[in-house]
Amino acid sequence: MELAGGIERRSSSEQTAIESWVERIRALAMESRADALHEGLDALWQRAWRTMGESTLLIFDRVLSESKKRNPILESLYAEEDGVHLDTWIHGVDIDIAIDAIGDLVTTFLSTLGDLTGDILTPALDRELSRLPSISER
Amino acid sequence: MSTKRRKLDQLWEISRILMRVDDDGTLVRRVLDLLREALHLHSAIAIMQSEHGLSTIVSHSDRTSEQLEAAQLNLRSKFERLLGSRHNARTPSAQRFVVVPLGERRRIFGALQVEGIQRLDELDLAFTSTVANQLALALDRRAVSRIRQRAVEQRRIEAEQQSSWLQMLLDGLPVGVLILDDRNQLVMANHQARAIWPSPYDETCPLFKCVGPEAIAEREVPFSRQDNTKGTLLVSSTPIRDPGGRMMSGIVTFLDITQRKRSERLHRFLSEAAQTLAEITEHEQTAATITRLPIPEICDACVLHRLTSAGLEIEHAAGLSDGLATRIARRDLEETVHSRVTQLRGDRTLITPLIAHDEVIGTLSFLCAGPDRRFEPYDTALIEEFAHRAATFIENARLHRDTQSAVRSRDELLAVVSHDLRNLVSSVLLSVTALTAAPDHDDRRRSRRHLERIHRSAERMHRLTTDLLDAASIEAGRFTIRARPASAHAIVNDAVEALTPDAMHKSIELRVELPIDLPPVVADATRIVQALCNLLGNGIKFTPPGGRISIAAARDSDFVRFSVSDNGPGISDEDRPRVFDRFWRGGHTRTPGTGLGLSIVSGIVDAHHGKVWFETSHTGTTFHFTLPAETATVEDTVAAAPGD
Repeated sequence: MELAGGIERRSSSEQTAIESWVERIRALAMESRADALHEGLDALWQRAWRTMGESTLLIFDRVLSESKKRNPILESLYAEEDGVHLDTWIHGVDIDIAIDAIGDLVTTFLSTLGDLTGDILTPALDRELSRLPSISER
Repeated sequence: MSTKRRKLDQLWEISRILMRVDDDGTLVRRVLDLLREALHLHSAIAIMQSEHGLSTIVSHSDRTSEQLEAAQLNLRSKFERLLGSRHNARTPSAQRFVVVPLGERRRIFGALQVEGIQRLDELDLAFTSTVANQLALALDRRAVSRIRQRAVEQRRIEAEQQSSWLQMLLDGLPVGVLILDDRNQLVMANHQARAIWPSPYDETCPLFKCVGPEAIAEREVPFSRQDNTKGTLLVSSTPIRDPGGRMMSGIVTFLDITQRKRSERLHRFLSEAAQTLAEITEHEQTAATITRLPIPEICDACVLHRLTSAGLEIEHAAGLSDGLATRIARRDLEETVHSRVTQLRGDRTLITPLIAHDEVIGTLSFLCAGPDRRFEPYDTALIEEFAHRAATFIENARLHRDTQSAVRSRDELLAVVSHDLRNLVSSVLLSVTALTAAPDHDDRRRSRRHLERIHRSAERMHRLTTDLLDAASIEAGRFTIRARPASAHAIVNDAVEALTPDAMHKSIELRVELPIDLPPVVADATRIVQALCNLLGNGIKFTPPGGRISIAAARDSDFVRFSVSDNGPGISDEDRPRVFDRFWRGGHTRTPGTGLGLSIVSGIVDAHHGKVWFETSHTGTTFHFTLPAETATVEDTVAAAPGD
């Protein structure tokens, strides 16, 4: 499956891990969803950074730039070496739309990372997602 | 050694290379080689984009060209994807490659791709990423360093260009310019400044005292050049302040006005000298004043040489010492007279010609004595102007002296003429009285003596008055002759016959030497006889008793030259220029006569278009004159004296 803009989706099995994570977040209470998104992005960031260091930021910047074209809601989202700065951004957007946009961003990021690195990190990153969100529904 | 430890060592080696290797290409290649060795790779390839375009560096061990081409194609595709300029679909074959971006400060400028012999694991990816990040950081820093170096170089070039432009601008100014910093250190000096004051620019330079918090406008500052010559600078300075009012630097402009001041002084001297000389009419005093005036304004000694028939002779000198006198070489004086051009010998002796009425009348030598005093090239014109004025004053003084002499001669002439006329008239009156009072029977012999005395007196009065009238006619340009063919023999004989009694009276021998074939002359015979009589009378007057006078004539081309020679004492140097002047009486005022004889000779010969001259020595004098021979064309038998 290919997304608009030419970025190819991951295989359907891999895509399932992301979609499952997104669904679990949607199932959370409204006020927990933002934290869950933050938690997911942070976990992926830390795992990728542990192996690739500054290359993570370069690749993420490139991916974010592409995603912003498809999802203008991401316009003010940015990342630094310590991770994706979601806090300020997410307070000003509709959480449901944000979940979709972040889902798309994560899909593209993992797809690009996998494509560049021969999917060396893909299993580890999928595992990270499968454990999340750690927040239980209240 | 454990795998981890080995990889750490290899990572350390890569870090060391990143610090040491200068050239980017070499650096990347060595890093790729080490990376390939550390991870047991088929290949390691880097792609980089720079201002010169894309470049690819490959390190491999066993890849075929096709395999390498496929690997490079994959890297280029991934790199373009990273740059966002291309979207590629994932391909299974691409999974054997691992690509990590090369970038810094969020800018991707390249990518690094490794291809493992075996499938690479996460540790390999971490190792590759670490190397890529370090390599990117090193390349970025080197690029930044290069940019900074280029910027520094560019600023240096611009500063040099600005400095060069400013130097060119300052060099174009007609004044010396110094720019000093706030510590009075020299920042810039233009060409004129270096020419006037070559170095050093420190506390010893008088210009530095002109730099201060207050501007200075056109202050005259004395200074000494490196060759110890003195001069004067006209200095202006302006302090440059920052917005806070603190003095940042100072600009000094200056002009060497030594020449201008000297020129002003010399012009003033010329004016004052002219005034002083104008008040002097006496010749000796004029010469003395001319040599005295230039000291010390122009020179330390001055010598006036007059050009005489014997050559150059010192007429007056002021301030001259033996040491200085040796500096005036006779050769230089003669060269000055000959060339009529001022001679500057060294820079302390200057000889200039004295020219009056287009004739060189002498030289004026100026000498500097002191070691720090010398003539500058621009002095020459002013000194020549002084010499020109001096020559005019000398000539005027000479004319004044001659005029005074002529006036004296005229007064003496009047006295002589009056005395002679009175004596002659008295003689006539006495004879007439004697004749009147004599009884009728008085004998005829006595009466005849009285009549002869009256006749001689009348003849002498006639000659005297004729000479005066002739001289007046010649002077007024009214003197006329009636020229026609005449025998030169007859003319000479008539003159000799007329003067024979006077010669016999002084026991002087008159000798005539005429060739038989002497041609006739075209002349007014009466006037030529008069001229010859004047020359013979002059000779008799100055030849001692018992002497000899020769009269000769000979053909000289289209002319006949007449010569009258005596063996008298000759004519003195002083008298020679004035021999043909009116009222001049040779040697002494006691010499009898009117002083008109030779002047009339000159007027008569001029009227015949002839030439008159003389040769003299202490053993005698010969006067020559020429007349046209009959064969010469005479257009008009009635000729007038010059000026008619």
